[in-house]
Amino acid sequence: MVISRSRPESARTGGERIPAGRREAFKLKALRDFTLCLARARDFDESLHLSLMVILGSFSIVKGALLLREDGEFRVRVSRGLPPGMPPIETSKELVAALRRSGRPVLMGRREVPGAIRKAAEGMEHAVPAFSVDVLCPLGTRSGPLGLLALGPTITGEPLTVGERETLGVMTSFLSAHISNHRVMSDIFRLNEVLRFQVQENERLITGMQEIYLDTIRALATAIEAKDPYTRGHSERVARISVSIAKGLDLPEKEVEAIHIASILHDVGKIGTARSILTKPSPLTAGEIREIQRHPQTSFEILSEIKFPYPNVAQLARDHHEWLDGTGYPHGKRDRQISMGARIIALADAFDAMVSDRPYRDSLPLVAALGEIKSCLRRHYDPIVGRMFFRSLRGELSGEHREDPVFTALGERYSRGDAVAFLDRTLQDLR
Amino acid sequence: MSYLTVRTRQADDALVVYIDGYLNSLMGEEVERVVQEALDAGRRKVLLNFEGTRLINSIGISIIIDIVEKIMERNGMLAFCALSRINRELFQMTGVARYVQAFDLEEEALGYFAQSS
Repeated sequence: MVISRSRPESARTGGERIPAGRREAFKLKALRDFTLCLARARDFDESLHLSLMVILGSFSIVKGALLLREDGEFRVRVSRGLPPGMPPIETSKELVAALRRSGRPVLMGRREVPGAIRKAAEGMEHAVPAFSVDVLCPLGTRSGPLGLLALGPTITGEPLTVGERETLGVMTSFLSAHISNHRVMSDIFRLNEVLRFQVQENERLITGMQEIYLDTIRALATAIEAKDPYTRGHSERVARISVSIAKGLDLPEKEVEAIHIASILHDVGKIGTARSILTKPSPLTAGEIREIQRHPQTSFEILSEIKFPYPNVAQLARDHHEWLDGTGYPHGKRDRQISMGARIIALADAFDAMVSDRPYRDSLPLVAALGEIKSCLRRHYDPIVGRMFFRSLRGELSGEHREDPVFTALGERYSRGDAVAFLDRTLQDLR
Repeated sequence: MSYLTVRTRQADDALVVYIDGYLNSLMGEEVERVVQEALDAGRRKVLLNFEGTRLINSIGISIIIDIVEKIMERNGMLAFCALSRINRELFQMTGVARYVQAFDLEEEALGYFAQSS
Protein backbone atom coordinates (compact mmCIF):
# COMPACT_ATOMS: atom_id res chain seq x y z
CA MET A 1 0.00 0.00 0.00
CA VAL A 2 1.36 3.35 -0.89
CA ILE A 3 -1.22 5.21 1.15
CA SER A 4 -2.52 3.93 4.36
CA ARG A 5 -6.00 4.23 5.76
CA SER A 6 -4.96 3.75 9.36
CA ARG A 7 -4.38 7.04 11.10
CA PRO A 8 -2.83 8.44 13.07
CA GLU A 9 0.40 6.68 12.35
CA SER A 10 3.43 7.73 14.28
CA ALA A 11 6.14 6.58 11.85
CA ARG A 12 7.04 9.21 9.27
CA THR A 13 7.66 7.74 5.86
CA GLY A 14 9.78 10.73 4.86
CA GLY A 15 12.39 9.86 7.46
CA GLU A 16 14.28 13.19 7.55
CA ARG A 17 14.15 15.62 10.46
CA ILE A 18 12.60 19.02 9.82
CA PRO A 19 15.01 21.86 10.55
CA ALA A 20 14.13 24.07 13.52
CA GLY A 21 12.11 27.17 12.61
CA ARG A 22 10.46 25.58 9.55
CA ARG A 23 7.17 25.09 11.38
CA GLU A 24 7.24 28.69 12.56
CA ALA A 25 7.95 29.85 9.00
CA PHE A 26 5.08 27.70 7.70
CA LYS A 27 2.72 29.28 10.26
CA LEU A 28 3.77 32.79 9.23
CA LYS A 29 3.46 31.94 5.53
CA ALA A 30 -0.02 30.57 6.17
CA LEU A 31 -1.03 33.86 7.80
CA ARG A 32 0.42 35.74 4.84
CA ASP A 33 -1.45 33.46 2.38
CA PHE A 34 -4.60 34.17 4.35
CA THR A 35 -4.36 37.96 4.21
CA LEU A 36 -3.32 37.82 0.53
CA CYS A 37 -6.30 35.68 -0.43
CA LEU A 38 -8.67 38.08 1.34
CA ALA A 39 -7.13 41.03 -0.47
CA ARG A 40 -6.71 39.53 -3.94
CA ALA A 41 -9.89 37.53 -4.44
CA ARG A 42 -11.96 38.72 -7.40
CA ASP A 43 -15.20 38.64 -5.43
CA PHE A 44 -16.60 37.84 -2.02
CA ASP A 45 -17.41 34.19 -2.76
CA GLU A 46 -13.92 33.59 -4.09
CA SER A 47 -12.44 35.19 -0.96
CA LEU A 48 -14.46 32.79 1.25
CA HIS A 49 -13.48 29.82 -0.91
CA LEU A 50 -9.78 30.73 -0.71
CA SER A 51 -9.99 31.47 3.03
CA LEU A 52 -11.39 28.02 3.71
CA MET A 53 -8.68 26.40 1.56
CA VAL A 54 -5.90 28.29 3.31
CA ILE A 55 -7.27 27.35 6.74
CA LEU A 56 -7.68 23.68 5.81
CA GLY A 57 -4.23 23.58 4.21
CA SER A 58 -2.56 25.41 7.11
CA PHE A 59 -3.74 22.89 9.68
CA SER A 60 -3.94 19.81 7.41
CA ILE A 61 -7.68 19.56 7.92
CA VAL A 62 -9.55 17.42 5.43
CA LYS A 63 -13.12 18.77 5.60
CA GLY A 64 -14.69 22.06 6.46
CA ALA A 65 -17.63 24.35 5.88
CA LEU A 66 -18.12 28.08 6.14
CA LEU A 67 -21.63 29.21 7.01
CA LEU A 68 -22.94 32.78 6.94
CA ARG A 69 -25.84 34.17 8.93
CA GLU A 70 -28.61 35.11 6.52
CA ASP A 71 -32.33 35.61 7.22
CA GLY A 72 -32.23 34.13 10.70
CA GLU A 73 -30.19 31.02 9.91
CA PHE A 74 -26.61 29.96 9.25
CA ARG A 75 -26.32 28.82 5.63
CA VAL A 76 -23.40 26.97 4.05
CA ARG A 77 -21.69 29.40 1.71
CA VAL A 78 -18.65 27.29 0.85
CA SER A 79 -17.42 23.84 1.85
CA ARG A 80 -14.64 21.38 1.04
CA GLY A 81 -14.64 17.63 1.21
CA LEU A 82 -18.39 17.59 1.93
CA PRO A 83 -21.32 16.68 -0.29
CA PRO A 84 -23.49 19.62 -1.33
CA GLY A 85 -26.87 20.29 0.25
CA MET A 86 -26.03 20.62 3.95
CA PRO A 87 -29.17 22.14 5.49
CA PRO A 88 -28.98 25.50 7.28
CA ILE A 89 -28.72 25.78 11.07
CA GLU A 90 -31.38 27.82 12.82
CA THR A 91 -30.03 30.71 14.84
CA SER A 92 -31.60 30.23 18.25
CA LYS A 93 -31.15 32.88 20.94
CA GLU A 94 -29.07 30.38 22.93
CA LEU A 95 -26.73 29.73 19.99
CA VAL A 96 -26.25 33.45 19.30
CA ALA A 97 -25.54 34.08 23.00
CA ALA A 98 -23.11 31.14 23.22
CA LEU A 99 -21.23 32.23 20.07
CA ARG A 100 -21.01 35.81 21.38
CA ARG A 101 -19.64 34.57 24.71
CA SER A 102 -17.04 32.17 23.36
CA GLY A 103 -15.68 34.45 20.59
CA ARG A 104 -12.83 32.03 19.77
CA PRO A 105 -12.52 28.56 18.20
CA VAL A 106 -14.38 25.95 20.28
CA LEU A 107 -12.84 22.45 20.46
CA MET A 108 -15.74 20.01 20.41
CA GLY A 109 -13.82 17.32 22.29
CA ARG A 110 -13.82 19.38 25.47
CA ARG A 111 -16.39 18.88 28.21
CA GLU A 112 -17.26 22.52 28.77
CA VAL A 113 -18.66 23.13 25.25
CA PRO A 114 -21.91 25.18 25.55
CA GLY A 115 -25.01 23.13 24.82
CA ALA A 116 -26.23 25.31 21.94
CA ILE A 117 -22.86 25.09 20.14
CA ARG A 118 -22.72 21.33 20.63
CA LYS A 119 -26.26 21.06 19.26
CA ALA A 120 -25.29 23.07 16.16
CA ALA A 121 -22.27 20.79 15.54
CA GLU A 122 -24.38 17.68 16.03
CA GLY A 123 -26.93 19.08 13.60
CA MET A 124 -24.25 19.28 10.91
CA GLU A 125 -22.92 15.80 11.70
CA HIS A 126 -26.43 14.41 11.55
CA ALA A 127 -27.02 16.00 8.13
CA VAL A 128 -23.65 14.80 6.78
CA PRO A 129 -22.61 11.62 8.61
CA ALA A 130 -19.14 11.67 6.98
CA PHE A 131 -18.45 15.01 8.69
CA SER A 132 -17.17 15.00 12.23
CA VAL A 133 -16.95 18.55 13.58
CA ASP A 134 -13.79 18.89 15.69
CA VAL A 135 -13.61 22.68 15.89
CA LEU A 136 -16.41 25.24 15.57
CA CYS A 137 -15.23 28.82 15.13
CA PRO A 138 -17.69 31.66 15.71
CA LEU A 139 -17.34 34.43 13.12
CA GLY A 140 -18.62 37.82 14.13
CA THR A 141 -18.07 41.26 15.56
CA ARG A 142 -19.20 43.01 18.73
CA SER A 143 -22.56 43.62 17.10
CA GLY A 144 -23.22 39.89 16.82
CA PRO A 145 -22.46 36.61 15.03
CA LEU A 146 -21.95 36.75 11.24
CA GLY A 147 -21.20 33.12 10.58
CA LEU A 148 -19.63 29.83 11.60
CA LEU A 149 -16.57 27.93 10.48
CA ALA A 150 -16.91 24.20 11.06
CA LEU A 151 -13.71 22.17 10.75
CA GLY A 152 -13.27 18.42 10.69
CA PRO A 153 -10.27 16.44 12.02
CA THR A 154 -6.71 16.89 10.77
CA ILE A 155 -5.37 14.38 8.26
CA THR A 156 -3.34 12.72 11.04
CA GLY A 157 -6.25 12.73 13.50
CA GLU A 158 -4.14 14.67 15.99
CA PRO A 159 -5.80 17.63 17.69
CA LEU A 160 -4.64 21.18 16.96
CA THR A 161 -1.77 22.33 19.16
CA VAL A 162 -2.10 25.41 21.35
CA GLY A 163 -0.03 27.40 18.85
CA GLU A 164 -2.20 26.22 15.95
CA ARG A 165 -5.35 27.22 17.82
CA GLU A 166 -3.91 30.67 18.35
CA THR A 167 -3.10 31.01 14.64
CA LEU A 168 -6.60 29.78 13.78
CA GLY A 169 -8.02 32.39 16.18
CA VAL A 170 -6.09 35.15 14.36
CA MET A 171 -7.34 33.89 10.98
CA THR A 172 -10.97 33.76 12.13
CA SER A 173 -10.76 37.34 13.46
CA PHE A 174 -9.45 38.48 10.07
CA LEU A 175 -12.21 36.52 8.38
CA SER A 176 -14.85 38.07 10.69
CA ALA A 177 -13.62 41.59 9.87
CA HIS A 178 -13.64 40.71 6.16
CA ILE A 179 -17.25 39.42 6.28
CA SER A 180 -18.32 42.45 8.33
CA ASN A 181 -16.70 44.83 5.82
CA HIS A 182 -18.46 43.05 3.00
CA ARG A 183 -21.82 43.38 4.79
CA VAL A 184 -21.25 47.11 5.34
CA MET A 185 -20.21 47.62 1.70
CA SER A 186 -23.25 45.67 0.48
CA ASP A 187 -25.54 47.80 2.64
CA ILE A 188 -23.95 50.99 1.29
CA PHE A 189 -24.22 49.67 -2.26
CA ARG A 190 -27.88 48.74 -1.78
CA LEU A 191 -28.67 52.14 -0.27
CA ASN A 192 -26.83 53.78 -3.12
CA GLU A 193 -28.96 51.83 -5.60
CA VAL A 194 -32.16 52.97 -3.86
CA LEU A 195 -30.95 56.57 -3.96
CA ARG A 196 -29.88 56.27 -7.59
CA PHE A 197 -33.34 54.97 -8.49
CA GLN A 198 -34.97 57.83 -6.60
CA VAL A 199 -32.77 60.39 -8.35
CA GLN A 200 -33.59 58.88 -11.75
CA GLU A 201 -37.27 59.00 -10.92
CA ASN A 202 -36.97 62.64 -9.86
CA GLU A 203 -35.07 63.49 -13.03
CA ARG A 204 -37.79 61.83 -15.08
CA LEU A 205 -40.46 63.87 -13.29
CA ILE A 206 -38.46 67.07 -13.71
CA THR A 207 -37.94 66.36 -17.42
CA GLY A 208 -41.68 65.79 -17.79
CA MET A 209 -42.44 69.05 -16.01
CA GLN A 210 -39.89 70.90 -18.12
CA GLU A 211 -41.53 69.62 -21.28
CA ILE A 212 -44.94 70.79 -20.10
CA TYR A 213 -43.41 74.13 -19.15
CA LEU A 214 -41.68 74.57 -22.52
CA ASP A 215 -44.88 73.62 -24.34
CA THR A 216 -46.73 76.33 -22.37
CA ILE A 217 -44.09 78.90 -23.30
CA ARG A 218 -44.21 77.87 -26.95
CA ALA A 219 -48.00 78.12 -26.91
CA LEU A 220 -47.70 81.67 -25.60
CA ALA A 221 -45.22 82.60 -28.35
CA THR A 222 -47.47 81.03 -30.99
CA ALA A 223 -50.37 83.14 -29.71
CA ILE A 224 -48.32 86.29 -30.42
CA GLU A 225 -47.22 85.04 -33.82
CA ALA A 226 -50.89 84.51 -34.71
CA LYS A 227 -51.23 88.26 -34.52
CA ASP A 228 -48.39 88.76 -37.00
CA PRO A 229 -48.45 85.98 -39.62
CA TYR A 230 -45.17 87.20 -41.16
CA THR A 231 -43.29 86.17 -38.04
CA ARG A 232 -44.67 82.65 -37.86
CA GLY A 233 -42.02 80.29 -36.48
CA HIS A 234 -39.69 83.22 -35.86
CA SER A 235 -39.49 82.72 -32.06
CA GLU A 236 -38.63 79.05 -32.37
CA ARG A 237 -35.95 79.75 -35.02
CA VAL A 238 -34.38 82.52 -32.93
CA ALA A 239 -34.42 80.16 -29.95
CA ARG A 240 -32.61 77.40 -31.88
CA ILE A 241 -29.91 79.76 -33.15
CA SER A 242 -29.50 81.44 -29.75
CA VAL A 243 -29.16 78.16 -27.87
CA SER A 244 -26.66 76.87 -30.41
CA ILE A 245 -24.48 79.99 -29.94
CA ALA A 246 -24.85 79.91 -26.13
CA LYS A 247 -23.83 76.24 -25.98
CA GLY A 248 -20.96 76.88 -28.41
CA LEU A 249 -19.70 79.57 -26.05
CA ASP A 250 -19.87 77.10 -23.15
CA LEU A 251 -22.22 79.26 -21.09
CA PRO A 252 -23.47 77.67 -17.85
CA GLU A 253 -26.48 75.40 -18.29
CA LYS A 254 -28.83 77.67 -16.33
CA GLU A 255 -27.86 80.63 -18.51
CA VAL A 256 -28.45 78.58 -21.66
CA GLU A 257 -31.92 77.69 -20.37
CA ALA A 258 -32.65 81.35 -19.58
CA ILE A 259 -31.56 82.28 -23.12
CA HIS A 260 -33.75 79.48 -24.50
CA ILE A 261 -36.87 80.76 -22.73
CA ALA A 262 -36.12 84.45 -23.35
CA SER A 263 -35.48 83.87 -27.04
CA ILE A 264 -38.83 82.08 -27.42
CA LEU A 265 -40.61 84.91 -25.62
CA HIS A 266 -38.53 87.92 -26.72
CA ASP A 267 -41.36 89.36 -28.85
CA VAL A 268 -44.15 88.67 -26.34
CA GLY A 269 -44.47 92.47 -25.90
CA LYS A 270 -45.79 92.72 -29.47
CA ILE A 271 -49.09 91.65 -27.97
CA GLY A 272 -49.48 95.34 -27.14
CA THR A 273 -48.63 96.55 -30.66
CA ALA A 274 -51.46 97.27 -33.07
CA ARG A 275 -51.93 94.56 -35.68
CA SER A 276 -52.17 97.23 -38.38
CA ILE A 277 -48.61 98.32 -37.62
CA LEU A 278 -47.26 94.76 -37.48
CA THR A 279 -48.75 93.91 -40.88
CA LYS A 280 -48.33 97.30 -42.59
CA PRO A 281 -46.98 96.73 -46.11
CA SER A 282 -45.42 100.20 -46.47
CA PRO A 283 -42.70 102.02 -44.52
CA LEU A 284 -43.68 102.97 -40.96
CA THR A 285 -44.14 106.54 -39.77
CA ALA A 286 -41.99 107.91 -36.93
CA GLY A 287 -44.92 107.43 -34.51
CA GLU A 288 -45.44 103.84 -35.63
CA ILE A 289 -41.73 103.16 -35.21
CA ARG A 290 -41.89 104.54 -31.66
CA GLU A 291 -44.84 102.28 -30.94
CA ILE A 292 -43.19 99.16 -32.30
CA GLN A 293 -39.99 100.00 -30.41
CA ARG A 294 -41.93 99.75 -27.19
CA HIS A 295 -42.34 95.98 -27.51
CA PRO A 296 -39.10 94.97 -25.71
CA GLN A 297 -40.11 97.00 -22.64
CA THR A 298 -43.61 95.47 -22.77
CA SER A 299 -42.01 92.01 -23.03
CA PHE A 300 -40.02 92.87 -19.89
CA GLU A 301 -43.12 93.98 -18.01
CA ILE A 302 -45.06 90.83 -18.92
CA LEU A 303 -42.17 88.45 -18.18
CA SER A 304 -41.21 90.17 -14.89
CA GLU A 305 -44.49 88.89 -13.50
CA ILE A 306 -43.44 85.28 -14.07
CA LYS A 307 -41.15 83.49 -11.68
CA PHE A 308 -38.87 81.57 -14.06
CA PRO A 309 -36.53 78.90 -12.70
CA TYR A 310 -33.69 80.59 -14.63
CA PRO A 311 -32.10 83.99 -14.07
CA ASN A 312 -32.85 87.28 -15.92
CA VAL A 313 -35.31 86.00 -18.52
CA ALA A 314 -37.25 89.29 -18.53
CA GLN A 315 -34.06 91.40 -18.86
CA LEU A 316 -32.82 89.26 -21.77
CA ALA A 317 -36.10 89.85 -23.63
CA ARG A 318 -36.00 93.59 -22.88
CA ASP A 319 -32.43 94.04 -24.18
CA HIS A 320 -32.68 92.09 -27.43
CA HIS A 321 -32.71 95.28 -29.53
CA GLU A 322 -29.81 96.96 -27.71
CA TRP A 323 -26.61 97.48 -29.74
CA LEU A 324 -23.01 97.66 -28.55
CA ASP A 325 -22.54 101.26 -29.75
CA GLY A 326 -25.54 102.46 -27.72
CA THR A 327 -27.80 103.14 -30.74
CA GLY A 328 -30.26 100.35 -29.90
CA TYR A 329 -33.49 100.51 -27.91
CA PRO A 330 -35.34 100.76 -25.52
CA HIS A 331 -32.56 102.14 -23.27
CA GLY A 332 -29.60 102.77 -25.55
CA LYS A 333 -27.44 100.48 -23.42
CA ARG A 334 -23.90 99.85 -24.61
CA ASP A 335 -21.06 97.39 -24.34
CA ARG A 336 -20.98 95.67 -20.97
CA GLN A 337 -24.37 97.03 -19.98
CA ILE A 338 -25.79 94.46 -22.39
CA SER A 339 -25.59 90.89 -21.07
CA MET A 340 -24.07 88.11 -23.15
CA GLY A 341 -27.50 86.44 -23.44
CA ALA A 342 -29.09 89.60 -24.85
CA ARG A 343 -26.22 90.00 -27.36
CA ILE A 344 -26.81 86.45 -28.55
CA ILE A 345 -30.57 86.90 -28.95
CA ALA A 346 -30.01 90.27 -30.70
CA LEU A 347 -27.88 88.68 -33.41
CA ALA A 348 -30.11 85.62 -33.84
CA ASP A 349 -33.22 87.82 -34.03
CA ALA A 350 -31.67 90.19 -36.57
CA PHE A 351 -30.42 87.34 -38.75
CA ASP A 352 -33.77 85.54 -38.81
CA ALA A 353 -35.58 88.82 -39.61
CA MET A 354 -33.18 89.44 -42.53
CA VAL A 355 -33.72 86.03 -44.13
CA SER A 356 -37.53 86.12 -43.64
CA ASP A 357 -40.11 87.89 -45.81
CA ARG A 358 -41.65 90.95 -44.14
CA PRO A 359 -44.79 92.90 -45.18
CA TYR A 360 -42.69 95.82 -46.35
CA ARG A 361 -39.82 93.89 -47.99
CA ASP A 362 -38.71 90.53 -49.34
CA SER A 363 -36.12 88.44 -47.50
CA LEU A 364 -32.41 89.08 -48.08
CA PRO A 365 -30.40 86.36 -49.82
CA LEU A 366 -28.33 84.38 -47.30
CA VAL A 367 -24.89 85.71 -48.23
CA ALA A 368 -26.20 89.29 -48.20
CA ALA A 369 -27.66 88.78 -44.71
CA LEU A 370 -24.38 87.30 -43.51
CA GLY A 371 -22.52 90.27 -45.03
CA GLU A 372 -24.87 92.62 -43.21
CA ILE A 373 -24.24 90.87 -39.87
CA LYS A 374 -20.48 90.88 -40.52
CA SER A 375 -20.42 94.58 -41.34
CA CYS A 376 -22.31 95.37 -38.13
CA LEU A 377 -20.00 93.41 -35.81
CA ARG A 378 -18.55 95.59 -33.04
CA ARG A 379 -21.06 98.39 -33.78
CA HIS A 380 -24.23 96.37 -33.24
CA TYR A 381 -23.26 92.79 -32.54
CA ASP A 382 -20.66 91.17 -30.35
CA PRO A 383 -17.82 89.76 -32.54
CA ILE A 384 -17.42 86.75 -30.21
CA VAL A 385 -21.11 85.95 -30.64
CA GLY A 386 -20.74 86.62 -34.37
CA ARG A 387 -17.83 84.22 -34.71
CA MET A 388 -19.74 81.46 -32.91
CA PHE A 389 -22.79 82.13 -35.10
CA PHE A 390 -20.75 81.87 -38.30
CA ARG A 391 -19.02 78.75 -37.02
CA SER A 392 -22.34 77.09 -36.14
CA LEU A 393 -23.78 77.89 -39.59
CA ARG A 394 -20.57 76.71 -41.27
CA GLY A 395 -20.90 73.42 -39.36
CA GLU A 396 -24.48 72.96 -40.42
CA LEU A 397 -23.73 73.66 -44.08
CA SER A 398 -21.01 70.95 -43.85
CA GLY A 399 -23.60 68.45 -42.68
CA GLU A 400 -23.45 68.75 -38.86
CA HIS A 401 -26.61 68.45 -36.70
CA ARG A 402 -28.48 66.88 -39.64
CA GLU A 403 -30.94 65.20 -37.28
CA ASP A 404 -31.72 68.34 -35.33
CA PRO A 405 -30.89 71.33 -37.53
CA VAL A 406 -30.32 74.77 -35.99
CA PHE A 407 -30.94 76.81 -39.13
CA THR A 408 -34.35 75.86 -40.47
CA ALA A 409 -35.19 78.87 -42.67
CA LEU A 410 -32.23 79.97 -44.77
CA GLY A 411 -34.42 80.61 -47.82
CA GLU A 412 -33.95 79.09 -51.25
CA ARG A 413 -31.86 81.79 -52.80
CA TYR A 414 -28.33 80.84 -51.96
CA SER A 415 -25.54 78.64 -53.20
CA ARG A 416 -24.07 76.43 -50.57
CA GLY A 417 -20.60 76.86 -52.08
CA ASP A 418 -20.82 80.67 -51.98
CA ALA A 419 -22.12 80.67 -48.43
CA VAL A 420 -19.36 78.30 -47.25
CA ALA A 421 -16.70 80.38 -49.03
CA PHE A 422 -18.06 83.54 -47.41
CA LEU A 423 -18.14 81.91 -43.96
CA ASP A 424 -14.59 80.55 -44.31
CA ARG A 425 -13.32 84.01 -45.31
CA THR A 426 -15.21 85.65 -42.46
CA LEU A 427 -13.98 83.14 -39.86
CA GLN A 428 -10.45 83.74 -41.16
CA ASP A 429 -10.93 87.53 -40.74
CA LEU A 430 -12.33 87.09 -37.23
CA ARG A 431 -9.40 85.06 -35.93
CA MET B 1 3.21 35.79 -11.02
CA SER B 2 1.38 32.56 -10.51
CA TYR B 3 1.00 30.02 -13.28
CA LEU B 4 0.14 26.36 -13.32
CA THR B 5 0.08 23.74 -16.04
CA VAL B 6 -1.43 20.35 -15.33
CA ARG B 7 -0.58 17.56 -17.77
CA THR B 8 -1.43 13.89 -17.50
CA ARG B 9 -0.25 10.70 -19.07
CA GLN B 10 -1.40 7.13 -18.77
CA ALA B 11 1.36 4.67 -17.71
CA ASP B 12 -0.17 1.18 -17.83
CA ASP B 13 -2.99 1.29 -15.31
CA ALA B 14 -1.65 4.38 -13.51
CA LEU B 15 -2.37 8.05 -14.14
CA VAL B 16 0.71 10.30 -13.93
CA VAL B 17 -0.11 13.95 -13.20
CA TYR B 18 2.61 16.55 -13.88
CA ILE B 19 2.11 19.68 -11.79
CA ASP B 20 4.19 22.43 -13.41
CA GLY B 21 4.33 25.88 -11.83
CA TYR B 22 2.77 27.24 -8.69
CA LEU B 23 0.32 25.20 -6.66
CA ASN B 24 -0.93 28.23 -4.74
CA SER B 25 -4.25 29.34 -6.22
CA LEU B 26 -7.65 28.12 -7.30
CA MET B 27 -6.03 27.01 -10.57
CA GLY B 28 -4.79 24.04 -8.51
CA GLU B 29 -8.33 22.66 -8.44
CA GLU B 30 -7.53 21.39 -11.95
CA VAL B 31 -5.37 18.70 -10.27
CA GLU B 32 -8.37 17.64 -8.16
CA ARG B 33 -10.48 17.56 -11.29
CA VAL B 34 -8.18 15.29 -13.34
CA VAL B 35 -7.77 12.90 -10.39
CA GLN B 36 -11.54 12.79 -9.78
CA GLU B 37 -12.08 12.13 -13.48
CA ALA B 38 -9.62 9.21 -13.40
CA LEU B 39 -11.26 7.74 -10.27
CA ASP B 40 -14.69 8.10 -11.85
CA ALA B 41 -13.35 6.26 -14.91
CA GLY B 42 -12.37 3.37 -12.65
CA ARG B 43 -8.64 4.03 -12.31
CA ARG B 44 -7.12 3.41 -8.89
CA LYS B 45 -3.44 4.38 -9.20
CA VAL B 46 -2.32 7.99 -9.29
CA LEU B 47 1.22 9.36 -9.30
CA LEU B 48 1.74 13.08 -8.75
CA ASN B 49 5.00 14.22 -10.36
CA PHE B 50 6.29 17.41 -8.69
CA GLU B 51 9.42 17.85 -10.80
CA GLY B 52 8.16 21.11 -12.33
CA THR B 53 6.43 22.38 -9.19
CA ARG B 54 7.96 25.69 -8.14
CA LEU B 55 5.94 26.31 -5.00
CA ILE B 56 3.23 24.77 -2.85
CA ASN B 57 1.45 26.90 -0.26
CA SER B 58 -1.42 26.23 2.14
CA ILE B 59 -3.92 26.30 -0.72
CA GLY B 60 -1.84 23.67 -2.51
CA ILE B 61 -1.73 21.56 0.66
CA SER B 62 -5.52 21.75 0.90
CA ILE B 63 -5.71 20.47 -2.69
CA ILE B 64 -3.26 17.61 -2.03
CA ILE B 65 -5.11 16.61 1.17
CA ASP B 66 -8.37 16.51 -0.78
CA ILE B 67 -6.74 14.20 -3.34
CA VAL B 68 -5.33 11.94 -0.59
CA GLU B 69 -8.82 11.72 0.92
CA LYS B 70 -10.53 10.99 -2.41
CA ILE B 71 -8.11 8.17 -3.21
CA MET B 72 -8.38 6.71 0.31
CA GLU B 73 -12.16 6.66 -0.01
CA ARG B 74 -11.86 4.55 -3.19
CA ASN B 75 -9.10 2.30 -1.76
CA GLY B 76 -6.80 3.52 -4.46
CA MET B 77 -3.02 4.03 -4.55
CA LEU B 78 -1.31 7.43 -4.52
CA ALA B 79 2.40 8.19 -4.74
CA PHE B 80 4.55 11.29 -5.18
CA CYS B 81 7.77 11.62 -7.10
CA ALA B 82 10.52 14.14 -7.84
CA LEU B 83 9.87 16.23 -4.71
CA SER B 84 12.23 19.08 -3.95
CA ARG B 85 13.71 19.14 -0.45
CA ILE B 86 11.39 21.98 0.58
CA ASN B 87 8.27 20.25 -0.69
CA ARG B 88 9.33 16.98 0.97
CA GLU B 89 9.65 18.84 4.28
CA LEU B 90 6.31 20.53 3.71
CA PHE B 91 4.57 17.16 3.29
CA GLN B 92 6.26 15.88 6.44
CA MET B 93 5.26 18.92 8.45
CA THR B 94 1.65 18.79 7.33
CA GLY B 95 1.35 15.04 7.96
CA VAL B 96 0.64 14.22 4.31
CA ALA B 97 3.90 12.21 4.13
CA ARG B 98 2.50 9.71 6.62
CA TYR B 99 -0.03 8.52 4.08
CA VAL B 100 1.77 8.86 0.77
CA GLN B 101 5.05 7.28 -0.22
CA ALA B 102 7.46 9.52 -2.06
CA PHE B 103 9.96 8.35 -4.71
CA ASP B 104 12.84 10.17 -6.29
CA LEU B 105 12.11 8.94 -9.81
CA GLU B 106 8.89 8.44 -11.74
CA GLU B 107 10.05 4.95 -12.85
CA GLU B 108 10.57 3.89 -9.23
CA ALA B 109 7.04 4.93 -8.33
CA LEU B 110 5.57 3.20 -11.37
CA GLY B 111 7.63 0.09 -10.55
CA TYR B 112 6.14 0.15 -7.06
CA PHE B 113 2.63 0.41 -8.51
CA ALA B 114 3.36 -2.52 -10.84
CA GLN B 115 4.49 -4.71 -7.93
CA SER B 116 1.38 -3.90 -5.94
CA SER B 117 -1.09 -4.95 -8.59
